Amino acid sequence: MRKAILVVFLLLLFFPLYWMAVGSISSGASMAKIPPSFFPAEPTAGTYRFLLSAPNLVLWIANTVILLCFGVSSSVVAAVAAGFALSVRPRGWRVVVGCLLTGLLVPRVALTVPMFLEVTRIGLTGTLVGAAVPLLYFPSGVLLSMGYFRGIPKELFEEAVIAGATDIDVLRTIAIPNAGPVVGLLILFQAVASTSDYLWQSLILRMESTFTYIVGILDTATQAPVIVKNTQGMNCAAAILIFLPFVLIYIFTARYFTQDPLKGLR
Amino acid sequence: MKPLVAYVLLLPALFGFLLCGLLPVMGVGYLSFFKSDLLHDDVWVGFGNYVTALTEGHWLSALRASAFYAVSTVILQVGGGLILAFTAYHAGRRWLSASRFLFFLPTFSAGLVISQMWRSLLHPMGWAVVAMKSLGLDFWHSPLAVMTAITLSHFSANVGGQAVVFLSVLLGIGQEYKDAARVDGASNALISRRIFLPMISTTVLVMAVMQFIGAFQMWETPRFISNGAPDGKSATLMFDVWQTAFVQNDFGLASAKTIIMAVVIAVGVGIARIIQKGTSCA
Amino acid sequence: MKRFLPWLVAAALLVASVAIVIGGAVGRNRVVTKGVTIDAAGVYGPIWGKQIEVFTALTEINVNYIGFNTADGTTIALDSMINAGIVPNVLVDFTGRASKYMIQTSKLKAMDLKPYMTKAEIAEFYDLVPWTRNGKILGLPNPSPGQAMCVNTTLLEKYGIPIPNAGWTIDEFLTMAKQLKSFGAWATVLFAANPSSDYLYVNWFGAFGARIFTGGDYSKTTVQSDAGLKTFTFFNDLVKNGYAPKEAAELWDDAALEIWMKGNVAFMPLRPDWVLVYKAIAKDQKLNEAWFDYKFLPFPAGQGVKVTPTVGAGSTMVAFEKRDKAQNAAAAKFSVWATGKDTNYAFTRQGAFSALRVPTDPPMDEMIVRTADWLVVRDIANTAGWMDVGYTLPMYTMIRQELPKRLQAMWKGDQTPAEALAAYAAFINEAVKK
Repeated sequence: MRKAILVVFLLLLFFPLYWMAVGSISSGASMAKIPPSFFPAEPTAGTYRFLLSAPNLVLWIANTVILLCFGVSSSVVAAVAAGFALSVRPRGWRVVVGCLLTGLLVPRVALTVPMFLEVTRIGLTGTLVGAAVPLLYFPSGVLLSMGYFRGIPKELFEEAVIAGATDIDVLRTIAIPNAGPVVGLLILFQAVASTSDYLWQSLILRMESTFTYIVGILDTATQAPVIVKNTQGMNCAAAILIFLPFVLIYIFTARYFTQDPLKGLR
Repeated sequence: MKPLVAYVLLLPALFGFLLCGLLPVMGVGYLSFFKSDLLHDDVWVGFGNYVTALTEGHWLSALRASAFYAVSTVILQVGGGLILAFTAYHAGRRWLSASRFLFFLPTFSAGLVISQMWRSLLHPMGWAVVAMKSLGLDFWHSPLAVMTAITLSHFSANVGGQAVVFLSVLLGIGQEYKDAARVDGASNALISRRIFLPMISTTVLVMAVMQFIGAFQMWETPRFISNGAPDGKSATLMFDVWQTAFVQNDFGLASAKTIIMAVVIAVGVGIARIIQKGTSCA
Repeated sequence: MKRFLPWLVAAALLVASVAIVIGGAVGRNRVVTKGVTIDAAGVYGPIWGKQIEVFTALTEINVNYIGFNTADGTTIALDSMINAGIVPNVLVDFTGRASKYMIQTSKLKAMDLKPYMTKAEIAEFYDLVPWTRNGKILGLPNPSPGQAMCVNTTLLEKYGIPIPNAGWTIDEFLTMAKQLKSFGAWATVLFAANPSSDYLYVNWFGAFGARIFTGGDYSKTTVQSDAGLKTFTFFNDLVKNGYAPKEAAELWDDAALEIWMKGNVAFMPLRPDWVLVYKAIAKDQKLNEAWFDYKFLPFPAGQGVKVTPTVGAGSTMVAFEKRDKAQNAAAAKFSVWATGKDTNYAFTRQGAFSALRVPTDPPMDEMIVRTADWLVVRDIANTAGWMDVGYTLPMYTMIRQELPKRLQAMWKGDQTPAEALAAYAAFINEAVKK
């Protein structure tokens, strides 16, 4: 019975992906035609061919990988470090947590324009560093890692301190080795955030050769109507292509968060 | 730990907060008192933007729509997530691992794939809308129907992620509780209800609050599915802010609306905290 | 040394011939200013990139192409750049978007191009009034698309309806619409679910003699008139009587065009060059592999109307004043040259419609546009000119959103044609005040 519920639900959850996949290989005519067809009568790879033949595709992928490596790693390191620092409750920690939390109240998109003006004045427009700026602000990551580190038994730390360890030793021998699960989870979040941030990246990156994967694919898909009018199919194919890296990222990082990272929050 | 070391560790994150949190929010606050479109000089209007924001017709309807989304999203996501989590938890080891992996996947396609699918499904001359018409529901003329579609889209994209979070928490609960209850002859359902639910109540509340905030900040789903149709009635507050800023280029008004929205969310969260304090003394 | 002499001579000859070849190619279309680099911002995309490429190859001015992204449908990228002090020398974009930048503020100063143009050059344009502000020419139109009525002759022949000719009237149109309906076909397709592609129906205003703006006076709209009411009533009747698909209020532009492509619609306002594009798409998407025969006509005329003006926006070029005087002069001269005769005809051969009046028939690339169709639009432009729908107004994007909303309200029965028209006029009058 339980398994039946799960199966039904999984089917429903994955139906949109299936529908998009079907749409991406259908040759136009809306996906809502009567009667609906659940498998394309004449599948065509035209949409994928068009999108994947973009001349700068490799550059886009390279840019995205660079962004992933440097942007994600620096923002995760920053968040975990901050989380650890907060977990020991230094003076004023409540103020810091309060600030981070209030930041969540204002959605990113509303701050886009002021942030863009800021980043322009610093001179980072058109660069991948500029594209990575929003990653640095990761309040949920800081809070998650704070909660995680609080879940590590106090005795571990206390023993080390009694044995004469300095703060750096504590970091080195206890905090970092045990940070695995939360780091994995945070990497996943930031990787997803950086590969899906179309709005900011399309603003900052102006020349086609500097685009990241998502900007490149989506822009090619939206330019398509002028050339190959299969808007529906093109959008579906773009959506599937954009979905793929996430799957890859997820498969890589899934094994890292098998433990409950919210331990310390309860 | 010495405070100095702690704050050195905090520096990078605080720098990020400065760049992406504090300064832009101050910028937004500043802009909210001006009429600004980036190309012309800013013109001081005092509280004019706030008055306009609060008295504009479609702002109020966006508030209504956002409230609908917030309530329905919280109920569906948290409820659905719990049901899924518990079902997977009791379904045996292999199903459990598989579920944990699979639930999360659709989350990555949110905003794009799923919205696209709904939008093409709801083509005005397509089979879904025609079928609904024959049953008496003129889909695109009914704000409620459109909002339901948007909620379902958001739901199907995110409920998996919710379930994964709840599952993690459940798995973190020691096995000994379950065993003890089993020994006493309790059924799975009873264990779920009486023991696990209370223990994960904090997480549930945290998730509920986050879903609440997320529903108010949701704007891409309405944009891709309905673009606010019919007549702006399915638009969220955030979508209205986006339109005011990016389409109408009135950044001053959009900033005022953002501030108002932040206050609304803060009030909502505050209420949730009061409820939490009241119910967590158990 | 003697041994190398032949080689030296050969090398010198080679260098000389290369120099002549390159110099000759570049020298063909010279613009006066030398050696100045200007930044030309164009919407990122294959079309504008190519245009800039052409310009760069043909002028002495170095044109540095800065792309910017509007794929999300907004101009936020360029606006933010300008606000942060990064201003291009020249901007090329679709008129509806570029008009916003024809302003003179402390942040952005569009240059008056009149001093850089001769009287003859100014007179060459069909109409520069929409690009003039306070007597200053702040922008210049690039090739514009003109449109007319595409008539599906195959469909009319199939049902034995005589094919109309130029000079046909609205009454004749409605008679044919009724006949088409009895055969299960449509006269035309209307839509209002999104504001894009409004040029596919806004031309009808001209058919009744209505005008959105008149004489370059943008302080108020002139659409509130008998002619305007006739147009709204016409839109209403088309849908109510079933001469256009009744789902009009919920159709967006793609869907409407799809219906037309399938071949069951007799009349559609279109650009002649796009018909061939749609034909290719229909074949590729298997919407209509057979396609149909068609011809272009001016719009059917309402009472008292002789010829309906055409509608089209094309792109606009704006030059901005920055600190370097040499750059400014180069930018202005470049804009004048890039919208002048030579380039206009180069682009016209690709199907675009010249914004210049000179009655030449350039050799058409018939793969892109059929000469006969193009000539129909040319004759309309020469007779009745263009209808000013406010494309060059900064608040054009706002105004353009309102018409489909009024149409939706009218088709849903929430407003009568008179009420919808009044609301539309009121909205425009309110919007132009800003």
